[in-house]
Formats: sequence, C-alpha cells, structure tokens
Amino acid sequence: MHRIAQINILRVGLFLTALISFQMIFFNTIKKNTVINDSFFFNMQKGYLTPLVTDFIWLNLTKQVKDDADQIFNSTKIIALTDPNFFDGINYGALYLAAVLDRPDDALQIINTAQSKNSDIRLSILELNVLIIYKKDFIVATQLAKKLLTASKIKNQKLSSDNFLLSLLVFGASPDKIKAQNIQDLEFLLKIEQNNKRKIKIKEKLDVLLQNRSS
Amino acid sequence: MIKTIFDLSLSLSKLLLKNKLSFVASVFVVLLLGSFIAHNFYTNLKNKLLLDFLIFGGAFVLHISSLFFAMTLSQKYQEDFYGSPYISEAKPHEYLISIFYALFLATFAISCALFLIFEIVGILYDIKNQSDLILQLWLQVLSATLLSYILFTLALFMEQITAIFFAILSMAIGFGLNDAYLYFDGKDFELLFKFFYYTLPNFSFFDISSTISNKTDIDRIKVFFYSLVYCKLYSLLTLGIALKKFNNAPNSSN
Repeated sequence: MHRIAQINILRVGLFLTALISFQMIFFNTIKKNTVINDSFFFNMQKGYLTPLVTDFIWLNLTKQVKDDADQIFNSTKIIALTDPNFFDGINYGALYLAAVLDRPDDALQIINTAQSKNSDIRLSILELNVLIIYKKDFIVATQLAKKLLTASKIKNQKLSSDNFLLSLLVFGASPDKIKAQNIQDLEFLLKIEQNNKRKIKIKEKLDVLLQNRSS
Repeated sequence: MIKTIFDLSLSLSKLLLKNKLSFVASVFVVLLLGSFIAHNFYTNLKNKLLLDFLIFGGAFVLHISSLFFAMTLSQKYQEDFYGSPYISEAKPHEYLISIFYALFLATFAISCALFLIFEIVGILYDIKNQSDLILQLWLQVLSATLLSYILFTLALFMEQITAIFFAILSMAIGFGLNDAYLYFDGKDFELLFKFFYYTLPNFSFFDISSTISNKTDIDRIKVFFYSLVYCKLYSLLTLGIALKKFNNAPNSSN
C-alpha cells in the first residue's frame, strides 16, 4: 500500500511541476513584450494567485532599469486586465504614460480595459483627468462628466469634494487649475518612483512647470 | 445512523490529520511568510503584498491538503472495500457520507490553524480589513472541500491520476468562468454560456481576493450565503452521483 502511495505522490509531484513550468512560460511572455489582448486564459491559470502576481508585475515595473515605453504600456495593460481593482497600479501606469511620456491615448486605452470589468468611480475620474489635462479633448470630457454625475446618483457612490472640484474643471477648464493638477500628478509619481533614471525625467518636467508658474 | 456516520467521520478525519503532508505544508507557508514580511519593508505597497500572500498561502495549503485527503480516502476506499472493519459496522452509503463529512472536517481543522496565523499577523501588522480576510478563509474552505468532493467522485469512475488531472482542470475552468461571463455578455452564445456558468463547478464564486487586497466594498452577507448555498447544492450533486456508483458496485457485506 505504501509503495503505491509513494508512486502516486511522485506522479502528482511530476504533474505539479509540469503545471508550474507551464505557468513559468506565461511569466516569460511578460518579459518578451507581448501584449495579451484577452485575459481569458490568463486568469484561468491563477485564481487566488491573481493579486500576488499583479503585485510582482507592479514592483518589477517601478524598479525596472530600462526605461522602455512599450514595456510600461504592456505591463500596465496586463495589470488592468488581470486585476482591475488594483487602482494604484493602473493610476501610476496611466499617469506616467500621459504626463511624462506624452502618450495620453495609451493611457486611455489602459483605463478603458480596466473599466470593462470594474465600475469604480475613481477610474472614470482618472479618465477625466487624462482627457482634460493631457489630451485636451473637452467635448468628450464634458460628455463623460455629465454621465458621471447622473451615474453617481443611481449607484449611491457619492462624489467627494475634491473629486467634485475635478469634475468642475471640465466646465471651467482654466489653465491655472490644469497646471496645478499636472504638478500634483507629477509629485505623486515622484513619491512612488524607485528608478533613478525615471525620477530625473519626472523632475525635469516638474521644473519646467514650476519655472513657468513663478514667471 | 447519524451516530455511526459521526463516529466514522471523526475517526477518518483523525486518520487524515495524522498525515505528515499537512504539517510540511504549514511549515512551508510559515517560512514563506517570514520572507514576505522581510520583503514587505522594501516596497511602497503598504502591506498589500503581505495581505495577498496571506490569501494565497491559505488557499495553497487548503487546496493541496484537501486534494491529498481525497486521494488517500479514495485509495483507502478502493482497498478496504472488501471486508473492511468499518464496513462491517456501517452500511455502504453511511460509509460514503462519512467520507464526505470527514473531508470537510479535516479541511476545517486546518483552516482553524490558519485562522490563528492570520489573526497574529493581522494584529502585528495592523491589517484593517481582517474580517474580510477571515471571510475569504471560510470561502476557501468551501472551495477546497468542493474540489475534494469532485476528485473523490471522479476517482470512482477512473484512475486516480487522471481524476486529479480533471479535478485541477475543473478548478482552472471554474476560475475562468467569471471572466468568460463578461466576455460572452450580449453575444451569440450567451444562453448556452449561462447554462455552463451554473452547471460547471464555478470556483469564481469563492474568490473575493482582489476586492479584499484593494479594500473595496463587498456585500459580506450576500457573498457568504450565496457561496454556502452553491457549495451545498454542488456537494449534494456529487454525493448523489457517488451514491449511485456505490450502490451499483459489488456489495461488501457478502
């Protein structure tokens, strides 16, 4: 009996190692800059591991030595697909793409992929932020703000005062407030960032804005 | 009848908990926990890493141990079927029900040990949504027992190793169902898919890990009762299938 049990345990061990190696192949795909369009088979693999995996993707993202724009886009998109509730990661990736690299369209794409699974109001406010300040598309932004105000009444998700001021920006669209928000975003990025090369990049952007403000 | 089932299941669950595997798995998790606590200081995630690890570690221990419990009990059933000391006292269907109950008891006993670890880490590191964490632990107990039931019933029809393969496959499909539901919403195969959504073992009912780790609101009572009712219904289904197979098998009393 014991021998049979041992053989079975060996077989199960072999099977589990095969499964884990299969998952390692999945992890390698992240490093090779492939964009995964559907999270369908990706989420099936993980289950309870999902938040941990997204944590590690994010930690890799903030500590990366290379400053490759496509890589940042891909890994934030994977975060948005696998764990759309992880707001901090999505916020960081979208703001970095929009504010520092001047790619607001990619940032909007990431936010929209997260919105397909998560109806969090913070995501739509982030979308407003990107639309007004970095893309400067006021027509779409006003439509979105009107939608938000009606939806917040239905879902009982109350807009806090700070967020409400942001949504007021849509109607006002004053350049001072836009600049203030831009500075606030960059300061937020500086606080989180752990890579020195990117820190320098963010600081350059901040200095330009602060000089214009004083003059 | 109830007394015999209860006594049998208690003795079976004691037999399961003497297994070295549960001890080894818990030591492994404690070691990993230490490394994660050390790693936690160097990140800007504010204990999120630790919280996620607690969820995953609990799930890992419970599911692996429940798989091994189901495997050992099915092996024991196949060997002891002819002239076992248990079966001479109890009837075949009582033996089967007591196996199902013992699987639940053994996984619940392990979850009690995990509960203590969660409480200690939560108090030390000031994790604020501990009640949600414990709800997730309870849901993991349900999903682990459901997985062991599926494995046991599959092992009645085929070899154990193929049964394990299909059980893990069913778990993977169960986690993918929630995403697939969003994917097929409003498309051609929506009705067909809804049928699969409720009939296949849907493990995504028991998974609230991402809402816990990101501290968004959840309807606790709804989650608790929905998952409990789903687990009950599905385990009754598997028990029915197993009982039918059991009754068709050659009788042990002869």
